[in-house]
Amino acid sequence: MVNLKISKSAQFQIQQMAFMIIAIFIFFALAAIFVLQISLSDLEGSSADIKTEKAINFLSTIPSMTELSFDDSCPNCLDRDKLVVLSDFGVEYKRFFPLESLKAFKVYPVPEDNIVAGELNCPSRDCIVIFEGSNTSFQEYATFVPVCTKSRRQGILRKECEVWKLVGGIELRE
Amino acid sequence: MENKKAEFGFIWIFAILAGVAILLFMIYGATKIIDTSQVIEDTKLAAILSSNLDLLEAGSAQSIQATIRLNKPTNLSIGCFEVGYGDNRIQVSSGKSGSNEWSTGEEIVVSDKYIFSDRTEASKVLEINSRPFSYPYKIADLIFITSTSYCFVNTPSEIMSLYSSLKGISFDNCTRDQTSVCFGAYGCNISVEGLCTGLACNSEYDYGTVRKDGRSIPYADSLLLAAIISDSQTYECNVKRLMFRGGKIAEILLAKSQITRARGCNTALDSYLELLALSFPNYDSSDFLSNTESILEIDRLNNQEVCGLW
Repeated sequence: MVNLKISKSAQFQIQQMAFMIIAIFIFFALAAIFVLQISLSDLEGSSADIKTEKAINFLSTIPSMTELSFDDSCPNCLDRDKLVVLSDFGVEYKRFFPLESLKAFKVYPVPEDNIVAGELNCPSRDCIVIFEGSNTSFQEYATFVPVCTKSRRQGILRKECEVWKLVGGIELRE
Repeated sequence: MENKKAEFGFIWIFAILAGVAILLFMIYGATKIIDTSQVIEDTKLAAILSSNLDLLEAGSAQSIQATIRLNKPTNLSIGCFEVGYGDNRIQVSSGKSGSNEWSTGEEIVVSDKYIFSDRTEASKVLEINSRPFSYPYKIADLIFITSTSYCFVNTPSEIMSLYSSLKGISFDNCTRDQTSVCFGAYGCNISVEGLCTGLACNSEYDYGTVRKDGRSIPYADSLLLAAIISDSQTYECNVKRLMFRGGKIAEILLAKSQITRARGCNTALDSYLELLALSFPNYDSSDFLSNTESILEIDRLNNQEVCGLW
C-alpha cells in the first residue's frame, strides 16, 4: 500500500516534469518562430529592395544596349526604329531583360493624334509595348529618354528627336 | 525511506537527461540559425553585387572600373550556362568566424551580364573592370572581376593606351607575386600573339591568341583581357552567349534597315547582316581567327555609309 502511494507520487512528479519540459520546449519553439518571422520579413524586404534597385539600374543602361541605342553622336538616345523592331522580339527579350514589362511612349511633342478620352492609345505609333507582364501586380519605374530617327532627303542626313518615357515593371510578390 | 531516495534520484536523473536534451537541441538550433544567417548574408552579397554590376557597365564609356573591399576573405565563383542567351551565376562563399569552414550562399542568376573571372577568387579586395565588346557592332559590355595582379611586358602602345588606366594591371618592372603577360614574346606566365595584318586592322592585336596553361585561346577585341584573366570554361561559355546575342542584334539591325530604307537611308549591309545572323549562334572562339578581318571590313563599310546602321 505504501509502495503504491510512493510510486503514484513519483509518477505524478514525473508527469509534472514532463509537462514542464513540453511547456518550455513550446515556449522556445514559439520564440524561435517569432524571431524567424521577423528575419524572414527583413529578407523579403531586402529582396524587394534589390529587385527595385536592379530595375532602376537596368533602365539607366538601356540606352547603351545596341538593341535600342541610336548612334555614337547621341550616347543616351534610343532609336525609334529599333523600339518598333524590338517589340517583335518581345517574347525573347522578356527572358533576357530583368523586367516584367517594358514599354515606351511619347511625351513631347504631345501625341495629340493618339489620345483617346484623355489617355494615350497603346500600342500605337506613339506608344510601343516591347513586352507586357503576365502578372497583374507589378511595380513600374520610369525614365525620360530622347528617342531619335534618321532620314535622308536630297542627300542630306537629318536626325530628329522626341522626348519619350521608358517604363519598366517588376513583379510584386504579395 | 529507501523508496523516497529512489524516487528523488529518478526525478533528478530524468530532469538532468531532459535538460541536457533540451540544451543540446537549443545549441543545435542556434548553430543552424547562425549558419543559415551566414548563407543569407552570402546570398545577399551576391544579389547586391549583381544589381550594382549595371552601374559598372562601360555603357558609352571606353572603360569603367571599381574596387570592392570586403570585410572578410570571400570566394567569388562565377558559373556560366551557355544555351541561348544563357546566364552567369554568381555565388559567394565566406569564411565562418572562429573556424576554417566556409559558408556558401545561393547562386544569383544574371542573364544580361557577361562576367569573366577565375572560377574562384579568394580575396578581401576585388578589382572590377568593364569594357565594351564590338564585333562588328557593340554586342555587350564585358565585366572582368579579378583579385590577381597582372604585369604586361613588351606591351605595344595601342594596348597600353587601352589598358593603362585599369586597376590590377601594371607595365614592365614585374614583381614576383604578379602574373606576367608577354606580348609577342615568350617567357611569361601568359603570352599574347597578335595576328591581325589586314588593311582594316587598327592594331596587330585586334585579334589573336592568348597562350596560358599550355592552351591557346583565340580572342578578338576586348575579349583579350577576358582570355587573360578567365578560366577557359567560363571564357568559351560567355563567348557562345555573346555571339548568340550578336546574332539577335544582326536580326534587329536587318529589320531596322527595311524601315529606314523608306526614309532614304539605304544600306549595302543587308547580305552581311543575314550572314552574321545565321553564323553567330554557331560561333566559338576559334572562329575569331578566321573571320575577324572580314568583321572589321563590315564595320568599315558601315562607317562609310551616310546613315550607318550602328
